[in-house]
Amino acid sequence: MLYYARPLAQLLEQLEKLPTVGPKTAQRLAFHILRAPREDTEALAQAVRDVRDKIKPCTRCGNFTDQEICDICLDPRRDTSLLCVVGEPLDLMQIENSNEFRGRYHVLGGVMNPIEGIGPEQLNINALMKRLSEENVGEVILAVSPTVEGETTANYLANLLRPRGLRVTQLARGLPFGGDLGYADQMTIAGAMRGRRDF
Amino acid sequence: MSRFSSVPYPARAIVLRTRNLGEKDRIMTLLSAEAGKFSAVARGARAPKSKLAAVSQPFTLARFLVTRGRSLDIATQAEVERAHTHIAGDLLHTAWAAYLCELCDIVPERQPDEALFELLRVALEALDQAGERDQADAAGLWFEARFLALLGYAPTIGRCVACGEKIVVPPNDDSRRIAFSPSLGGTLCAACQSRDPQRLTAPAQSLRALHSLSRAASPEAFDVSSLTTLARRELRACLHRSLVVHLEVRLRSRKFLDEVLSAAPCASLPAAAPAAVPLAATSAPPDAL
Ligand SMILES: [Zn+2]
Ligand SMILES: [Zn+2]
Repeated sequence: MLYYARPLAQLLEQLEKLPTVGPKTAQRLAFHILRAPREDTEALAQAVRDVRDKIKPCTRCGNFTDQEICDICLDPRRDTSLLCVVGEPLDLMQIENSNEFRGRYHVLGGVMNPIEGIGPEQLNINALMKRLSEENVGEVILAVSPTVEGETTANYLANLLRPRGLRVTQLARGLPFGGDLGYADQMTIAGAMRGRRDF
Repeated sequence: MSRFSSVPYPARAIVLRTRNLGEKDRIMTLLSAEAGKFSAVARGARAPKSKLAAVSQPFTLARFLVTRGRSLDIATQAEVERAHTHIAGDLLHTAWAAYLCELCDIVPERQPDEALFELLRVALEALDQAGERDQADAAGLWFEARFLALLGYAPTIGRCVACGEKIVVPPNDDSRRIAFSPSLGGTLCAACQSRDPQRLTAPAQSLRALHSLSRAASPEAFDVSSLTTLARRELRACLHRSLVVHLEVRLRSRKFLDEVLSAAPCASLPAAAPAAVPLAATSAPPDAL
């Protein structure tokens, strides 16, 4: 066991809890923090504290926000007839950064995973149904990952939504841009074939 | 080949479940014929362009090349044999498949069991091909019954499991209720019922189906569509109680399966006139297993 002064050992322990940070990286980060100007370390500590204290889920869509309702939900230029359903706030940000979508979002807070015991009741689905009753949505886009868990979630939601007479769509599933058809796997080709469109 | 050698070993395996690891990796729980159940990391599998992205999905049958790692084995190469893509396209099929995979996940690690691998492989294939509710139910119920039998708990139907007395059901009395003891592993005659205070009762039709399913070579060998909704539910209850009693586990995917099954009720058929008078028309004496 390597020796570290107690406060340093505590910092290392916390850093190692972060994703992708192993002991070596933690050590590098800790020594960087140790040598950094005092105002930088204060700002870092404050930012960590603020993000925990001030960021909470938007009461309407579940996106991260520091207000009651997030900027996207409040934006009057957004197309209110389109609602894009995503698993996590990170997925929302990815779609938002693609600059392709001008509707609004609903964050489920995860995807269904029967083996892990994550069923519909653990997800933000009741709030989604309530929104659909109150808001004038014409199309729901199911933007979940093309995984078994994502598919399960999409099928479950599609069964719930179809009787409401809404248009229910799913992100196109296909060959990644720049990919060679000859090297694509069965699942990708099957998905691309099912999702084919008019030329 | 020794699992401790650094030479990669091949494994034809079914992905039972996956968990995210770090930022880009997945840990897969695999069931193989050669090596039994084991875990392996699919590095970078969560990146959409990864060659391991599609193969590291539950229900996939693939040929893996696995390298022994320091703490976890690593799947370096994989080729999909059956992606079973239709399962994920249907909620009921997914619910059954997840439940079957979770059942397989209770076996101890690294104990080769070719029969179990084959059982899951055939059941997933049947679920992938299943068009209607009946075919999916047949695959799931067949798996449960065969799984019990594989573990040595095939129920004795048609004779009293306690005293050996033959249990006879009058003709046209398919719905006659008969005592079934999950813990003793079979039907009980009227005189022996009190031997199991936790006994269930089920219609003769359900118990006959349980008997046939435990011995059927494939899901297609048994016609689930002949069972009424009620008889099917009671067959599932007998199977489920038997699994719970003998395996002593609580399966998380069970609740989801129950919800999906009750949301999609099967067509209720009128009870067909039974031809056989003995509860289980066995020419051979019931299995001692
Ligand atoms: Zn919002
Ligand atoms: Zn008896």
